[in-house]
Amino acid sequence: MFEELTLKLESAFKKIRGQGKLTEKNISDALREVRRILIDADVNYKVAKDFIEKVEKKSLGKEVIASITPGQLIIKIINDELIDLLGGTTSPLIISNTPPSIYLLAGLQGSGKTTFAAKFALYLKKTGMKPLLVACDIYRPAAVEQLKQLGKQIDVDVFYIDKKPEEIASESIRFAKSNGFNAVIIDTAGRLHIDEEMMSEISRIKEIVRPTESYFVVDSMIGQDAVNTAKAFHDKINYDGIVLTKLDGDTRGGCALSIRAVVNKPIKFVSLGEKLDSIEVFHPDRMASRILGKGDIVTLVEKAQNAFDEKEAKKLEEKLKSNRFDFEDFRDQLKIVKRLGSVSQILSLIPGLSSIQKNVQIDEKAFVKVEAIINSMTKEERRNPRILNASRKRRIARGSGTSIQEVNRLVKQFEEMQKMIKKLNNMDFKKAFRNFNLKIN
Amino acid sequence: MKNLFNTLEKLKNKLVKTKDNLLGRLNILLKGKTKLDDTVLEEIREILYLSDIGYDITELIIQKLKENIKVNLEFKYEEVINLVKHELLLILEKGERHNSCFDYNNFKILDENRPKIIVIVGVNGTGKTTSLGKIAYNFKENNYHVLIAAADTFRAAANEQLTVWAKRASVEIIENKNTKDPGAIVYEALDKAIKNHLDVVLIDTAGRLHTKTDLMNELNKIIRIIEKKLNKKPDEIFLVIDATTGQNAVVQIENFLKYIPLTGLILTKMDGTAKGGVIFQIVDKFKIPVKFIGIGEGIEDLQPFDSNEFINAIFEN
Ligand SMILES: Nc1nc2c(ncn2[C@@H]2O[C@H](COP(=O)(O)OP(=O)(O)OP(=O)(O)O)[C@@H](O)[C@H]2O)c(=O)[nH]1
Ligand SMILES: Nc1nc2c(ncn2[C@@H]2O[C@H](COP(=O)(O)OP(=O)(O)OP(=O)(O)O)[C@@H](O)[C@H]2O)c(=O)[nH]1
Ligand SMILES: [Mg+2]
Ligand SMILES: [Mg+2]
Repeated sequence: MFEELTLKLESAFKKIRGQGKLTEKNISDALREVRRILIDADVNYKVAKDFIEKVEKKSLGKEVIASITPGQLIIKIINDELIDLLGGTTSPLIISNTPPSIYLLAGLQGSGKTTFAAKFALYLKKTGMKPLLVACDIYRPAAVEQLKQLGKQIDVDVFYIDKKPEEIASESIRFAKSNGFNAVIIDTAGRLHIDEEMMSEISRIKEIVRPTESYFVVDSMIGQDAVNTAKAFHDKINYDGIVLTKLDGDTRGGCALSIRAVVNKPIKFVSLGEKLDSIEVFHPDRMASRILGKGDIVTLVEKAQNAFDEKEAKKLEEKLKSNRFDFEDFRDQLKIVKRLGSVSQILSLIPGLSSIQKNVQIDEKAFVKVEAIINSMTKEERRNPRILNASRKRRIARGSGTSIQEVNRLVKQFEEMQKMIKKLNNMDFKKAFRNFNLKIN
Repeated sequence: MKNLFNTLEKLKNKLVKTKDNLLGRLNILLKGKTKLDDTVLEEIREILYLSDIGYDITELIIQKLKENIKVNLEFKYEEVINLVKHELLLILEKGERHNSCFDYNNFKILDENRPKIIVIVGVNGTGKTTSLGKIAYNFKENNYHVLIAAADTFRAAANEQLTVWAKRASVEIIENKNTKDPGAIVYEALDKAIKNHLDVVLIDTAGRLHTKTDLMNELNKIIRIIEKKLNKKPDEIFLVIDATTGQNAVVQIENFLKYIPLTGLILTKMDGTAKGGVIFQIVDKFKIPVKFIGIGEGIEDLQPFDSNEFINAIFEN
């Protein structure tokens, strides 16, 4: 998320830091640099200009010039402004007192509405709700079928009848009420904000179902036009929140700033992949700190907590404490990493790594290989790696389609990791594991 | 093409919107002004930036204006317009290539070599499948034998979506109901095309972000399968770009090029208000031509790209 923006800001700030004492001139030079960064990041030109002006005003205060660490102070100002612009605090999901809670999704073509609908359903399901997906896109070829298939994947019912979108929507609410669904998620067709017919349709749907919340779903790769689109949709349906999709790529995602600036609505969720569990609540403060290169350790920890189940974690902790960590456990951990998402996604969340990550080609296949090697070991070998002699290694290499060098490397890295674990008396396993990840590449 | 006239009219109407929002604004801006001063330059800059044209090209054009039109002196409005037009056109010309075996203005195949292979790639949701359907329809209208290969085995209902398009265009399709291996689908399609002497094979691929190494390798593998089977590179590999996309489009192309030899771009969703201005940077950097623009969700909403027409349409009064 925001990887490149982060990198570029980092380098601009390094410049400020390197200059030691600040003058009005070099503050505004550096800020011009920041402005370019923002524009390259697809922040709307006008929004970027306003933002820089604000920061500049604050930075020119006596406090900054007199400070021993003016660079840091400016970074703090930028950080605070960014958080402010991104929405201050995390915006909670609204759930209706009178079920069902109704959520309406709208946006441009291909922005990720249907995928998000399914992700959101899974998200609500995990919190114990009983969601119903509603297919109101009768235009795009196989749109209904797409939602049906996604619904099946997550075991959530999909409502569809062969009628107009307005009627599908209104009947779905009746259906939900009489069948005990307490959340209704309405997927609608992609539409251009200048398509009057389609815009009145979405506005009618909104009037009919009176959603608890409606969301504008937007592709985070969008450029300068984001403000026009976001505003037009807002004018028409006055949505309650924004969903940013496709943040698993390397888009700088400046639209997050732009949209926030033109419509005063919170970004509620971010969508980070095609897998249906890659959805996260949006945290303005974390996002801002991420933009400034501080990483997003909190998200990482939360993710890890979700993926680790309690029992497994306890078991692991005991093993680690008693230094009995073996290849069996290692394989389990690999599975957990997989559940966490892609490796590059995880790495991008670790402070200071965003710059390293640029240079390291994260080869997800390396993990597949590691897993293959471990799978080719016998249970005994996994439990007790010390018995791995040359002939066993040759067999493992053959069995896993790798080379003996690759097997050797893995065993060696594993031994190092064991040593490291021994050193860490307490539960800092994740860190150990992290280092290991980097070495593979 | 029987619908050529219709489509041209449609294109004009649709591009009017672009004009209103984009450089058409230059007209409005410049008409009342007589001096090219910092304020005017800054306003030009703003208009260019807001079109996703990007830092380098915007500053290049501003620089050219400064060099050619004396700052603070009187200027003719046409001079400025023509200069901006000229610079933008120069950039688009860098992408023009004449070695294609297709004439897309008439959807004619220009040589005897068969089957022709067109592969469509791009990041998620840009309009690959839709554009492929439109292309299939156009070839079919000219009585070519077209086969579609549904090599997006990943996205939910991608197969069903493409099947609808195949039906609309009245062409055959190799579906992927029985395999999740895109390579197998491609192989099957090529086999069939050779056996039945088909003219064109259109290959739809799954949307993939350019940052995902494994998916990019998969794409490379598809291309290699084609090369091996036919002893030639695919005749076209089109990257589909959504006109709303910002600067990330540049990185997208850069990464795709690392894995596969793209031959052209399709710029979709030009019927919206987004300017697609990012293509100027792309053509400038990678010398890849834009071949089509998508101007709607209907089967006829595809237009061959023409630099002159494109820029003229933008500036037309
Ligand atoms: N990488 C990535 N792909 C995504 C994400 N969200 C959606 N996609 C993909 O983007 C494409 C479009 O997603 P859809 O959910 O069909 O988009 P939509 O807004 O419903 O599209 P229309 O209904 O045609 O307007 C699909 O290939 C999805 O798999 C995401 O967060 N990351
Ligand atoms: N307005 C407009 N919509 C378009 C255009 N081209 C495609 N679309 C719409 O954009 C959405 C996505 O189109 P698809 O063809 O499914 O895109 P894709 O690239 O195949 O998507 P994935 O396979 O999921 O990556 C659909 O709703 C299309 O109807 C266009 O030129 N203009
Ligand atoms: Mg959809
Ligand atoms: Mg597709």
